[in-house]
Amino acid sequence: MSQSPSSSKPSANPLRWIMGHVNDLVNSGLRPLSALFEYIGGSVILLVRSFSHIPVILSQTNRIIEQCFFMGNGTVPIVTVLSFFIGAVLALQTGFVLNQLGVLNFIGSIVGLSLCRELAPVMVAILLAGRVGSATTAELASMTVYSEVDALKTMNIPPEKILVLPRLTAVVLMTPLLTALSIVSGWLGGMIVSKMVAFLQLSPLLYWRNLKDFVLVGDFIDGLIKAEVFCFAVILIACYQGLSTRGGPREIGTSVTKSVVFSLVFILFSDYFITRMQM
Amino acid sequence: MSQSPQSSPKASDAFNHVGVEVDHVSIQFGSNKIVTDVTFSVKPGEVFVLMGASGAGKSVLLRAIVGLIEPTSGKVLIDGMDAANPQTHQKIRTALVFQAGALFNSLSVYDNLAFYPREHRLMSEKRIREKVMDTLKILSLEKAAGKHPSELSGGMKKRVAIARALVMEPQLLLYDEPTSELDPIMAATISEIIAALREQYSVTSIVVSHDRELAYSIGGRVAILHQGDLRTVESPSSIQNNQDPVVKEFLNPEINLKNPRFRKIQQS
Repeated sequence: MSQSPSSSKPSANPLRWIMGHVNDLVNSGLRPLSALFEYIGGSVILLVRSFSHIPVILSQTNRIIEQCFFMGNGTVPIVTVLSFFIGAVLALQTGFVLNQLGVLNFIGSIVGLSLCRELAPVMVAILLAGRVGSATTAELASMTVYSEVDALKTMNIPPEKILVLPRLTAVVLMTPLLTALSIVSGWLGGMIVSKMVAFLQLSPLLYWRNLKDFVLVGDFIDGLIKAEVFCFAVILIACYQGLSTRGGPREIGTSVTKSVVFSLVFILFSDYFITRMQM
Repeated sequence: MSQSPQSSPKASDAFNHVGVEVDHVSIQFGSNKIVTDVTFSVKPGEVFVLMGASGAGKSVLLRAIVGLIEPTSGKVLIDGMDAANPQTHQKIRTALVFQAGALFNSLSVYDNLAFYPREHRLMSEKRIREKVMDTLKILSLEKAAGKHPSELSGGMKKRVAIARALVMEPQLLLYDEPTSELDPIMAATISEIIAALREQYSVTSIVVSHDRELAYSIGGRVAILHQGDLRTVESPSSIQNNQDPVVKEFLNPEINLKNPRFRKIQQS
């Protein structure tokens, strides 16, 4: 191992000592940036390798169905319940102010548009990262650490074909369903609160009429596109993180944490730019 | 490593003998040299035993032969084809029995064995069933067919890993420490299985091991790797008389309680 420049004495060669420190400083500053580029590059390569197996995707039908079931089974109940209460709270918070302004019937449009364009896609993606992304990373990391992935390679079975492609396909198929469920569940939550809470008392008919007037099919599609981008990225990050894990049980745990954190950062970061593009 | 089912090797090609040439191979991870300029050849149908202390680079070399690692310099040739090229492993069936088994934990023993022919669509489900059950019978594992790897003992896991490799009908079979962590009787059983498979199918085998008994009893030739360098390649009978101090020390280590090795290392 070569000695670090910063550890040498300044009296020996001051210029070299200073240059060593500058080099160390630049390297440590650039390290996170190079790690980020490596992560993005690695994920893109994984995506391209997975897509190269699309011609034989039908041979993976059983695995795709299995993954669809896993994503749906694990996510549907929690998406339904959370979306319902987010819609309900949104109606409660906005209803309180709108009532004072005398425009209570606008609850429908506010709840409808907020859920459709923003809250449902983001919430579905976050729940998917926590529930499915973490499990995916843990499973693939465990397979990598315990040489199961190497065993696949020695059998001439590309891991991208049987481990990544079915998951990416399943998320593309399941995301619109989960997002639509989240939107409708949130709308219902908003409607029930608007009707039941004493200081609101808005009739469901007015709620739906206002919602229908403001929420267009384009808004719904924009929400679905946003959710597709988020959820696809969540599963790609989970797969890449899992397959690039090295070490032992401790590193599996670290990978799961990284996968969820990177997914959340990506969702919230890209949300701004996608929203801006859709306006 | 992409492969279409059509390009899979046919079952009829199975057990055709292949030779291996390790030609001036060096492997380095960062600045850490693992294997340095190693050259040897393995004849078709031979059982070649690669021995050496822990960390000598044996398993890394094995991974280079199976194509999981690309050598930093030099080449590994299987039947004249570069082992680092994925196409080579599509033409020649190479199986590796991993040290820890590397069995698919989510699948039963039966499904572990059926995995390769199913994925490559090599035969009908009926034929796969016959083949898997026959292979399990050879290794006395019929009763374990429905069990999951987590329910198996260490010796059974090793045997299942060998069975899984055998179902692939490999032309080149590599074993990474097949007898490590096993009791002496189970280690002897595994050695007998490797020898029997070689006799029955004449499959070219490379065995990485510390086990002297295994090397002397089933090895056609034995190589000693020391700190990444190849010290010798000889027949089991001649290697026992080798006068190289490193080889002698490795094959016949003396337990010296008055002047233990760790003290010598500390002093040096």
